[in-house]
Amino acid sequence: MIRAYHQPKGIDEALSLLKNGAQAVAGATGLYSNRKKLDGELVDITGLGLDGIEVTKGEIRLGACVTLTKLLEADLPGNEGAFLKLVARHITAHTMRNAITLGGNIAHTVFWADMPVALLALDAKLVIARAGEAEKTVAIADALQGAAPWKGGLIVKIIVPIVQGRTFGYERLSKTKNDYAFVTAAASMKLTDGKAKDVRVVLGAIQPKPFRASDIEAALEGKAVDADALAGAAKSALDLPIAPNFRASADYRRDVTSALVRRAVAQAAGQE
Amino acid sequence: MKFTTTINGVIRDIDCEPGMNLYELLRSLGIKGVKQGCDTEGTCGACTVLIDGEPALSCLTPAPRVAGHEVTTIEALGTPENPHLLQREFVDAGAIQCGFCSPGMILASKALLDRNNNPTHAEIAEALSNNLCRCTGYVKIFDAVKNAAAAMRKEAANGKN
Ligand SMILES: Cc1cc2nc3c(=O)[nH]c(=O)nc-3n(C[C@H](O)[C@H](O)[C@H](O)COP(=O)(O)OP(=O)(O)OC[C@H]3O[C@@H](n4cnc5c(N)ncnc54)[C@H](O)[C@@H]3O)c2cc1C
Ligand code: FES
Ligand code: FES
Repeated sequence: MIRAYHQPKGIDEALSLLKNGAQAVAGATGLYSNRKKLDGELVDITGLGLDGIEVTKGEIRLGACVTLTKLLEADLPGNEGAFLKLVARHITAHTMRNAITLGGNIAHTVFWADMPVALLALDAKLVIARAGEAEKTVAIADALQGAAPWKGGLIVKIIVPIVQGRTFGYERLSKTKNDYAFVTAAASMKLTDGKAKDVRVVLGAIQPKPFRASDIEAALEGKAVDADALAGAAKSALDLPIAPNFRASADYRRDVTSALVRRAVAQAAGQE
Repeated sequence: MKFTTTINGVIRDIDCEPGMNLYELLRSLGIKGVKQGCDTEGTCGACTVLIDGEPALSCLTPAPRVAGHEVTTIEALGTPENPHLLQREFVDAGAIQCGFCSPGMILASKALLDRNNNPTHAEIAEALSNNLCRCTGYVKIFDAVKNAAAAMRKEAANGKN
């Protein structure tokens, strides 16, 4: 049962409520679709001014309460901006996107969460605030491992670096456009003299949390993305661990994973 | 908990349980145009209302969040004698069968047409992407929205708007 619904106007008040065990509510789409299971006090964080979007020379800084709709309507620079929008567009449907926030999509750690897949490919960072502590910046890859660093506090900002010449690929297979994904694959790299640098290959919906396929990344790093390299990536994707899923069998999704990894890498390399 | 909100143009003082969602609040006030068509999980859109003119799923909206905001439900749109233009076009196009999805469909369409009275097919599909109809097959719903848009443009051209 929800015992209290707090609507603080300032971040300090929100953080002290969170420190005392209350739970943050942002878009409410995750929390209220399981409302009967909630027990305790809620802190509405949508009145804290965390919905700003700031573009600097080298970064896109997104407030944690920016909704997917606001992201889609914003003027965002670079391949990074286009990639963020491509991913946001595939998440559920219009009215839901009016509510779902970036912070909520990260903190509601479920296998189908799509934004963390994108943020891993983007090398994004999270700014975490906690009562009585200085804000701290954590790489998304670290934040998604082990205990959530925002527990008892808040994600306040998401920082996306803008890297000249970085390119992206994105593939998502689902039953309908706005259903949960069977598999999601994202790739990013920087092609220098025909060689792939800083390669990221990220998989979503095949494990409880999205993750970087470091073996595939390492095999592609510093190489030309030719037919052999793509075939190699597709082949090693067959070895990735695939958790069961209520939409489709692991065997089917293993084959899909392999195909989507190949396509996402080829797209990022400008070949599809 | 206590707060003040505007529902269909009327300022109301609310006193509700802190854990209520907006759907429950509206039904408890006798506003029955909001429907629940799924397990309050965001998949049907029958509970769609407008908050400050933008579509929201009332089942996934904490009730206290509408404090100080304006909520619009289908009840505000017209009467059987004098239906809103969208309601008239939905009826005329045969876009209503059981009618369970219609309040949500019409409100989501209204939000679209209020900002764009000449939407493309793709824009209508996007605006209605969160609204499930189990009866009509959508073709007639798209016809209704397009006809309503055309009627709106005509009214605007005649200076009636
Ligand atoms: C039917 C349905 C289908 C969906 N399909 C998809 C899909 O395919 N892909 C996808 O990516 N998403 C999908 N979603 C959305 C996803 O499951 C979550 O509902 C959504 O991401 C939660 O965001 P929110 O802003 O509504 O968060 P809330 O529901 O408000 O909060 C969710 C969790 O995050 C915490 N939280 C929120 N903001 C912060 C913050 N700033 N700092 C710390 N903690 C915070 C809350 O305490 C809570 O634990 C779907 C949702 C539904 C209901
Ligand atoms: S009741 Fe189905 S989306 Fe709200
Ligand atoms: S008319 Fe029956 S659900 Fe749409």
